[in-house]
Amino acid sequence: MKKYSPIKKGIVCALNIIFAVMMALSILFTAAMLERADGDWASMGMNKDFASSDSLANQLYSQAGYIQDYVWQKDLLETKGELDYSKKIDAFKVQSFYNGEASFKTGMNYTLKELMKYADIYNDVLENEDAYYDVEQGKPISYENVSASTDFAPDGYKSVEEYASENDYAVTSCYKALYVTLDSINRVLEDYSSNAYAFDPKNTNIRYQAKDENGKVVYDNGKEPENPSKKITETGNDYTIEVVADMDFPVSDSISDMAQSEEEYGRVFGSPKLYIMGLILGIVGFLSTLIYMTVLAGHKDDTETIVLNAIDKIPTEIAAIVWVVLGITLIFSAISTGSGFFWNYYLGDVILCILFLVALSVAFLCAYLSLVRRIKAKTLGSNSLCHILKHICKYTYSHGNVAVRVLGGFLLYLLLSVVLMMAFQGLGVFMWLVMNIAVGYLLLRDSVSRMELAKGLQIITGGDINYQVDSSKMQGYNKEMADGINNISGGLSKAMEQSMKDERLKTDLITNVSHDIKTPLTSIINYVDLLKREDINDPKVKGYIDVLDQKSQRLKNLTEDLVEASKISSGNITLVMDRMDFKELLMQMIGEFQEKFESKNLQVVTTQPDTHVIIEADGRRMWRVVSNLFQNVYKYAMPNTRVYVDLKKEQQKMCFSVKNISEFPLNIEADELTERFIRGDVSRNTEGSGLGLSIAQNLTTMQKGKFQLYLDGDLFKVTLEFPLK
Amino acid sequence: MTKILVCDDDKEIVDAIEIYLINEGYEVRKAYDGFQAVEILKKEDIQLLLIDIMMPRLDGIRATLKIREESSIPIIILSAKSEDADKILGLNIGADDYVTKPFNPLELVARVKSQLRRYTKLGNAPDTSQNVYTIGGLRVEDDEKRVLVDGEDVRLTPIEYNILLLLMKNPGQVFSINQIYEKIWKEEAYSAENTVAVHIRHIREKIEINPKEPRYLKVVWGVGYKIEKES
Repeated sequence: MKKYSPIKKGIVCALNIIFAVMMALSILFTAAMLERADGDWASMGMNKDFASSDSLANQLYSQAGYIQDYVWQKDLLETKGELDYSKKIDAFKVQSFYNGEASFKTGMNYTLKELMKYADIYNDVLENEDAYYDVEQGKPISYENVSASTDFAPDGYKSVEEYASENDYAVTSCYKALYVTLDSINRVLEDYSSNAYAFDPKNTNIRYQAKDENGKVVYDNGKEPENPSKKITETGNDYTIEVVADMDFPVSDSISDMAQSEEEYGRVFGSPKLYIMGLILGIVGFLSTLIYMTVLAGHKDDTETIVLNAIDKIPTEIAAIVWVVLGITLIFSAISTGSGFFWNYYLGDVILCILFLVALSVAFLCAYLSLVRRIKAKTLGSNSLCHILKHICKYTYSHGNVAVRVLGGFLLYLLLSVVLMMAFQGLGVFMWLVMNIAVGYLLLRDSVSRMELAKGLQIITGGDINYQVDSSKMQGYNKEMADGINNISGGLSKAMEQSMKDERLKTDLITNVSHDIKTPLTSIINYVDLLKREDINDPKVKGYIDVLDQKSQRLKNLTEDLVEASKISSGNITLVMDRMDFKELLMQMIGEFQEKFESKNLQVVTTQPDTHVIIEADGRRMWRVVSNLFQNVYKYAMPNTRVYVDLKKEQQKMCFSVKNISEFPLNIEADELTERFIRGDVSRNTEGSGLGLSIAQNLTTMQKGKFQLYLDGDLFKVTLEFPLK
Repeated sequence: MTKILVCDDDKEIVDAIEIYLINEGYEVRKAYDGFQAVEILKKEDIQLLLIDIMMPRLDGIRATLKIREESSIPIIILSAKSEDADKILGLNIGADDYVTKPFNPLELVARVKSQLRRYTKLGNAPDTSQNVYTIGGLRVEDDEKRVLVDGEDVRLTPIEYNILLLLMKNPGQVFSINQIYEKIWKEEAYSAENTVAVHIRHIREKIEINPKEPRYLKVVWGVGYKIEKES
């Protein structure tokens, strides 16, 4: 069988339900047993003797009450155990029985027969409403339709009045006793006959004995049974009633029914070990199948992902409410049917209860597995109404325009404020404060984000194009803006990198090309030199050879400068920065160039400070800069003029300038002179590569110095500035 | 007769160098790649090798490494590669000198002579005499007030000689213009003294083969001058 086959799952689910029902039933049965055993665990489930049981005793006590009445009725109505219509009945005795108070008056006797006749008359009279008043007042009732002979004369007297006067009683009290007797005599007769039937030993398993003060049995309904129940004794005014049940149940009555029910109950509930075993098995089985289903839930054999069914797609809160309501309903139904077990055993109740429990188990399993699948698929939170609501709010917030968002937010804030203030007073004020603190925090966060954005923009415009704004803590528009800024800076830095790479490739190309030029150039220079050594008399040929010599030398300089210029402009060189004395450098340079300048009769006029001029620079590159400037002077200065070389210390910086008069008119802009291959003489007749000033400028800038050219007519001036150390 | 092997894949360059060297009275053998050079060195008694770097089959660097396994003859590398890194590499793997193309034929001949003199005449003979200062091929004999470069006399003026002696006595130490002035002229230096710099340049022109790329008297720009300590 496959790991996640539906049949397997179905079997496990069914087992789970069976175990759950078993567990619940065991709990209910155990509870019922415990209840019946009066909370006594030890006696729980023991098959109690019905004969001595409380329920039977209760039943017998209630029967004893009836017997008490029955015995009194017997006293009143019977003579020698038979109903005697001529038996004299004292009205005061009846009255005292019904009023519940002893009477000292006696002797107002009537025969039963008379009383029955008078009761008929009495009832007829009472059809007249006015008679009620007389009855209550204890007056004689004599109306037209009442015959004259009916003066309710007691035995031995002519009338009630005569009886009263002879015995010295109040007439009204005598009449009242008579009326009570007449009112109740028919009911007494009825009760008597129904009791006679009920306590006839042919109809009941109850045996009673009514004993008088001396313990003599006055009344009974048969002998004491051979198999009696526990005896109940009830003491009344005249008799002590003893009641037992015949446990052989010769007849079928309520007692025998009870005994049968008890017996059946004992059979069903009589084995607590079975139910405790059932309970343990139920719990173990239920939990183990539940855990197994937890593992299986959501998986299917043909897919890796968690599979959700329709139930799992209901929003979490709704599903939770439905399951909880359903669960509670089923639990109460099961308990209410199950609680019947406490008293009686009815198969119908048990079946109904089991049905409820099955439904409850199925519902629980469905709900539980749905929860498991939601957790596994991580949709517990994301499928909730709260989450969906949050998404809707977020979507509206991030997609609505600014006005809608600001206004919406403000209105919400206002509404909440009003509601909180109006609705809750004390607590409301507190919540309102909390809300305001939250709003303040949000505003602060927004401002901080904006500040970050502004700072990022400033840094990027300041030249650090690699700067990235940290957008991880930003929200909504601010985040979008931050990402935008980061994209721009990324693009810029990519473009910069590309251009640097291109420049480096260009340098490599120039270097390689210059290598290839140098090899043939070597041969040219060598063979021109060899030619010069030949003994050539023709001045024309000599002139040609001189041109070749000059041009080949110039080509040599050009290739060397070209490589250097391209390297410098692409930043492809490393500087060795060190402290150096610019004054020393200047003196060294002038020494180097002195004879060159003298050859063109250029007079160098130098002004410089007495102290050292310490700057931080790369000595060799600095030499190259000043050397290029002096070369420039040598090449282009008008012969027989003065060259002014000034070195000055100013605040925090040194200022170096070279001034000379150009031999040729400089009809171009100063900026153009530092462009590569631009020279003052357009004809390009002189030696030099046209790269000198460009190299000097680039090297100066690389060493964090300032390079300035100044042209005024034929005056040519170069200024270098470096920070002093 | 001194035999020199010239090795370059450019035939015309080899031929031109041959002419110059023959003019100076050397015997010349020619090779056009590293393998040929190594082969010829095995067969013949060669005193000096001029070798190019970029050559087919076996390049100059690897050829030099191979030759250095067996021979200690002077090797001068001739190359169009003029980067500092290239020069340092060449000298580190055992070459004695590095000349960049295009070269001045006279300078090349001078360097060849210098290497040969040091190799054949001086060798590594220890200097025991007093008041003699030697750095490489440069030798100052103070007792005779004589300066020799690769064994040949060089004429210096008394001031030039004193400056050189000062620097030779303290190899590796950098002297500023003012320090040199005060030590030689024995008086306090004032600014605008270009004299020292001019003298130095003159000394360089006399003792160096290529004054723009001095081997002995080096300029430390913005600091002063020094004689390089022997490595």
